Amino acid sequence: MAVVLSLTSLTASCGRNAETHAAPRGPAPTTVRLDHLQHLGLNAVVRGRPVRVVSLYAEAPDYRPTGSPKRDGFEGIASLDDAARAAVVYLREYEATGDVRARDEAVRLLSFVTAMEQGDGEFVNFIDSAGRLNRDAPSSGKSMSYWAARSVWALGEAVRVLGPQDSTVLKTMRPVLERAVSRMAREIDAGRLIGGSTTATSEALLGLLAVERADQSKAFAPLATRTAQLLAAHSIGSNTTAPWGAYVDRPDAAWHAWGARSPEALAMAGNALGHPEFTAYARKEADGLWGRFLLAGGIPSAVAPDGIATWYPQIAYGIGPIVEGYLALAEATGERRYAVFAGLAGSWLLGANPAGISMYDEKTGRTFDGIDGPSPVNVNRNSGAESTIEALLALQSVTSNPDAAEYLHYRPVGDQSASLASVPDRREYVGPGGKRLVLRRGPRGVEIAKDDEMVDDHEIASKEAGAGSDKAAAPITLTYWPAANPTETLVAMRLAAQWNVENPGVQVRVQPLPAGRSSEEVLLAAIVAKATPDVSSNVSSALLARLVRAKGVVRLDNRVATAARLRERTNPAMLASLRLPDGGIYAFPWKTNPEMLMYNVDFLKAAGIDPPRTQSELLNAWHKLARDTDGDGRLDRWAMWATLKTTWHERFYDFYPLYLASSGGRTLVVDGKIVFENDAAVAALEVLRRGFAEGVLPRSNFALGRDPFTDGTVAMKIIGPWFLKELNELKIRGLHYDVVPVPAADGIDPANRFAFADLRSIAIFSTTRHPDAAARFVAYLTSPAADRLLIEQGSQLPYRRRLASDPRFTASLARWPTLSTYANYVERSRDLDIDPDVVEMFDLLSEAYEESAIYQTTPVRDALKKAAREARNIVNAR
Amino acid sequence: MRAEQRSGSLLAGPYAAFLLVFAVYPIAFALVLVFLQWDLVTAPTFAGADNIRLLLHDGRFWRAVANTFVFLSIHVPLQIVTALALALALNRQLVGRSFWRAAFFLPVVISGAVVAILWSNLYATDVGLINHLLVKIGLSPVPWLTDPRTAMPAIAVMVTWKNVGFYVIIYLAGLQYIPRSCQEAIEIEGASAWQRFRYLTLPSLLPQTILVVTLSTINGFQLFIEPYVMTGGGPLRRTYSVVLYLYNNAFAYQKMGYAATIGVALALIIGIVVFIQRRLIGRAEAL
Repeated sequence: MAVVLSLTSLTASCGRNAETHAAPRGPAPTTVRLDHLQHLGLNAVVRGRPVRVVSLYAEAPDYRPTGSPKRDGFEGIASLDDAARAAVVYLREYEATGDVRARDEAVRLLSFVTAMEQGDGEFVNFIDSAGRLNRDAPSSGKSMSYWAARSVWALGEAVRVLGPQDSTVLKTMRPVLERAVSRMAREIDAGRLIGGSTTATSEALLGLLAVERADQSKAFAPLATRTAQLLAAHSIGSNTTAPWGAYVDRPDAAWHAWGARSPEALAMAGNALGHPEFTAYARKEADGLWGRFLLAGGIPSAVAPDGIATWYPQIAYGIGPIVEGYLALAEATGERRYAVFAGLAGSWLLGANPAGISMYDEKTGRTFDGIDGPSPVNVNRNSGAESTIEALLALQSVTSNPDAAEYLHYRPVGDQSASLASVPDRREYVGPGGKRLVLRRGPRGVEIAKDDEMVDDHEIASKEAGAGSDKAAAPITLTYWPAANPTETLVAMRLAAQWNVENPGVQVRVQPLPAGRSSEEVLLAAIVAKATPDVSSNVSSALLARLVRAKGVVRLDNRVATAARLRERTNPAMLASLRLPDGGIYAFPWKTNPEMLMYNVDFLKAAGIDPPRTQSELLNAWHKLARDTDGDGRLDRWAMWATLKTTWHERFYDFYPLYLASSGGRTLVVDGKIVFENDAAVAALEVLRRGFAEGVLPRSNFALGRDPFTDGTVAMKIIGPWFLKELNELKIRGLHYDVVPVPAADGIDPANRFAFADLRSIAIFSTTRHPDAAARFVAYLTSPAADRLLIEQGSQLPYRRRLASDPRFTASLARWPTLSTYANYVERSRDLDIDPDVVEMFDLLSEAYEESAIYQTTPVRDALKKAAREARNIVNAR
Repeated sequence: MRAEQRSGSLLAGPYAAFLLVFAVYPIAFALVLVFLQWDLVTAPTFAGADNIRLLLHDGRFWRAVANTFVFLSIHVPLQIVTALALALALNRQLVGRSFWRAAFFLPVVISGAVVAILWSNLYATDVGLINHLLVKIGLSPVPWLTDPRTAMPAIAVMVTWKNVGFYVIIYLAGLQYIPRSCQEAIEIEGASAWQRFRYLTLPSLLPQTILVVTLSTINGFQLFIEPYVMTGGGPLRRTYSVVLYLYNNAFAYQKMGYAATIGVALALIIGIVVFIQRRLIGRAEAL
């Protein structure tokens, strides 16, 4: 009995810290909801084309979509201004989620955009309820103005998000975009801002840069450069003189918060065009004027050239551009403070405003139209298109940035300054759980003097209780286990060193995974011994299900930092197979290495064959490449080597990738049901069987440590991108290689082909005392900069959406030959099933492979049937 | 008397504690696990006799038992013959006898994994030394570890090589106990070398042979590291030993309860086999 008790207590302790496994201490991640924007949508027919538009207004309390009121001269029911920006919202939503409904909505809105173009690159803004164009109103007439600039922005984003080769883009949008850009060029070349406005010019520039990021043809780069140069000349004042670097339309014009996108456009131009001076120009307004807002504790609606601020009305259109401007600067400069400031600016939407109420409603996706004074009664509770769209644009960005998202719930402490000329040198902000952030004026603008996000929650709690309130808190230490291989250890060491410099309150100690046969066994041993680290970055899906069942790991999608990083990095489809039955994500999908068929270019050329695309072609290649080079009557050169070893993970290099190439993404077990007894598995085993039976695959194992591909014994191998680094280190003279996707069974649509990738995740163990700090560290380990390091140092691929086409990673991917081909399959890969018995199932398939393919003692279908039957027995027995 | 009892208990205490912690507790633990399902990570659940029922109908387990008997049928006789032959050779007045004795004992103290890797390379089909020699004399290379017919014999030879030094020592010790007078007497009677071996040496070494059979059987049942490193249990599961199956259930599939059941079953099988061996050899001894 004592033994049972001892055993039970041992395992119960694995369930451990219920507190850390439960909900996080801080607020839940903010949900970006497009419901209200959808509600504002209307179908219309414009110039004979069915299109989608967005109603201008929706009045409380019923929020029925309506058009322009008498006050505005009955401009119409909907505008291009709003539709174009709404299209950007939907395009970003599609980019982040892969939701085709968002894509369809964007395309229909863009149909309206193209319908409003007048054949010469100029646009009309409003339509009435019958779909007639309003050509008369000053805010609507045919011109190259605000609405034209926003059209360029939306069409540019469409090219970026949908892809330059998308048929819709090519047929309908690109010609309109080309005409609009030509028309825009006339204005820029004449030295005129679009519509006489820095706002419109910035938005048009964002469109040009989006195209540049998408196709990198440099077609728009010269115009984008000239536009940025023109914009850059419109900053007036300095850090010390009003209006403190603000971008204004004319030297005597006031600065408006509404549409203040000059810093965003310039920061992005600096990055995309390779002109760092544009980034410096972006800093002028951000470090000067916006820095004063942060120290003042509020964002005014306008600032006169002499620095006099007008504080009301405050609207989302005056907040969103600042949020996105800061984020663009964070991206361009790598300075975390800008992301923090973006979060603080965005907090206006969630209640950090003079009225003290949340302007954005997470349940409906509504954003109130504005605040006219420092009280809740001064809130305009209508929710029109512009406020809704601008808030959504800001929230889409800010909730995808872990550093920014953490500060969305902070509030300024103390009274707002009355004047921007006399702001204090320091401003304190307070966040959830009493965390404090202190900003101060510094030589580079506003700096972060103190940040409780960077110290431990427990320290904050003890301070709240009055213990050692003025003492500097001792730094907490997180233990981080990366994989023990030299590359990953090096990457981990570098990242941790950088983190430790930037986060003195949370120090990370790197300890490579202790030696063992596999990471899974080491981590299991650590769990049983209650010696898990805070964070480990080599968790396989095979282990994850058990860790979660034991409550051994912390849920990550309900913590602000990791939720934001998940949103920035992945989409729901990429996460679908990683969600546990409760819908949670318990390990951060970090890197994936889709396997391809690598081949020796010279060998295939000499044999007169093309890289195989189908499994028939693969078999044909095996026949043509197998040969006896020394004339002893025995084959000594082969096309490929399929190992005879039956250890479960050996099937990652033969059967399983061949199976996934044809299975349409089906794996082995789905929701406890065995699904591998199918034609794709038969085809994979059959091609291997024929290879062995016909004597063109070597029926032997090569000596330990020998790689027959690199020594020229075989011409092909199925392998992941990590091998590129090994090849580089081996420096084999005369080896020319390339990769193609693993051949699929005949008749399978190549577009429906999936690759096998052994996904590795980062987990926070429930034993940690600092789950929030650990979550921030995980978000840091998965940042774009960290991912670039992983690619460059290890020739390994982060699990990121659109990795192959993301310009932030283009240079890193180009560091390794063929890596971009691998990158194309990051989103088209399948991992091991998150099933507790997946290892045993692979053992069963190894037996089927051995019996049917290598030794042909059992027909393929019978062997598969037997494996499936035994797998079902395993599932039924649990 | 009481003082004597006290000091006796005191002196026996450390060993008793050692025995409790490292023998009694693990055995009891394993017996409890037989009735549990436990994956090391989540809390164990009571499984009743499920593990035992599964074992009785588990073809893989019985296949592993059969494989182990195949291994034993090659290994044990080979072990006796080679150990005895070497012991007889090393019992003579050889030049450098101490060196040879140490040399044959050396593999015993080398890590099993190291030996397995070494022999994997010797057996390698492509560049292995053994196949290299076969090709030199005009024969075809043999896929030692990947042909279902040769894999287990190949492992048995390797294990024999590794352990032979230990059994040589046992036989050498036995040879020292054969009375000189008997040897002289049988020589005076004019017995040939074969007759001396057959009628004096071999019967005199029967206790050592019993020991060698017992120990090599017990060790043989625990065959693990060699198939684990060299073949993974293949080809066609022909080298899948009981302990490898136990290990995979415990640490690859995390089925600790079932692994414990296999362990207990293995202990029972070893007990039964050794019991039968002793009865058979004992009967032979009596004859």
